[in-house]
Amino acid sequence: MKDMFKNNKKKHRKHDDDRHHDKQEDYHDDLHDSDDYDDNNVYQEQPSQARDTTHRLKSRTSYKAIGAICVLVSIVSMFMMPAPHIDTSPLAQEALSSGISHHLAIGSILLGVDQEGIVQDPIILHDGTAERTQLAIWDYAAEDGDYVEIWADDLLITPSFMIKHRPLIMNIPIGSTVTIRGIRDGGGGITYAVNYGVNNTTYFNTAPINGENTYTFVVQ
Amino acid sequence: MHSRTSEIILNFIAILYFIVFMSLFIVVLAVLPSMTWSNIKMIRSTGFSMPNNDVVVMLAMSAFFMGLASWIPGLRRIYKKLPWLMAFFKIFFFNSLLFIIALYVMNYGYSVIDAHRNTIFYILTLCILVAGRLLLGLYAMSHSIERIGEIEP
Repeated sequence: MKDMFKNNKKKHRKHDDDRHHDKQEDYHDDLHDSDDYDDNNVYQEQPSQARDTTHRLKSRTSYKAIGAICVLVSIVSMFMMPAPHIDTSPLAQEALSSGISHHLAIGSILLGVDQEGIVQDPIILHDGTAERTQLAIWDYAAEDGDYVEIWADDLLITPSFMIKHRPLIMNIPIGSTVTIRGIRDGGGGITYAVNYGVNNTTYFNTAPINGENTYTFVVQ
Repeated sequence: MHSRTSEIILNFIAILYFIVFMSLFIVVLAVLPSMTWSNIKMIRSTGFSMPNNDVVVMLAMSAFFMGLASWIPGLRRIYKKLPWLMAFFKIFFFNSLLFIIALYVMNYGYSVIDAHRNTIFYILTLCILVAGRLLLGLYAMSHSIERIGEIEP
């Protein structure tokens, strides 16, 4: 084994000037044999060495491609991740303090983290002409895994579901009451907003765990 | 061709980059699949879905820093000095991506509490994991490591 290395060292010294040494890449140096040179003493790359060179170029290209793809995809994915726009306008502040808004759009996010908010059982006034109303419900604070279920006059409208920033919109019959029950608190309280189409009002409410908020419909 | 001084500087920068960024994300990539699997089991046991944006952020950042080292020639020497690193990155990245997709499906299925729906989505999650692992295995079979040779004693 020592003899093998001795011979290699001799080859190094002999062809030191002729080595094609790529300092940028840490590849093994090709040990050029005397057979690699033709009659005119011009280096002729052997087929195995040509394969190594091709392999090196392909490896370099594939590393570049993998790196570029990873960087670009990670940047794009970070931008595509939904970052909720938190409304801090005076109307939003007023809605937070009063728990009611006639002006804010469906889906408005008012807080970045859940806070204990107003617990209310509002009375909804309507003219009595409509039999059904649109109901939109969403989480106006952090989307942290709060679960609620919706009842209308002791009839289950939806099974327990997770409220999200994206509003869930449904049509419900207008009876005497709509009840929203708090099933699970993801942290900081079961904060939700509900908008009724019949009076175009949004209620920013907090449901007690295993408790409920009752919305009573009254004809004006 | 770089001078000796610039080689030393580049080596220093590469070592610093590895210690500060890549070592952290190597650990992150290694634990991400098991972490995501724990989340899936927790969803199954509690019956409620849970927010999972943090695992996506971790995977994206791992891909960014590992990919940057592969893209920039001066940092690419890290992969040359640690030949196992690129294979590790590929395997654990795709593994983590697979588990995150499964977690998203599980979260979607458990966003409504309904036993029938929950069971269907749980089975679907398991199918995704099995199918994904099979595909990764097929890929590994078709792109196996070549034996260059053996050192004779």
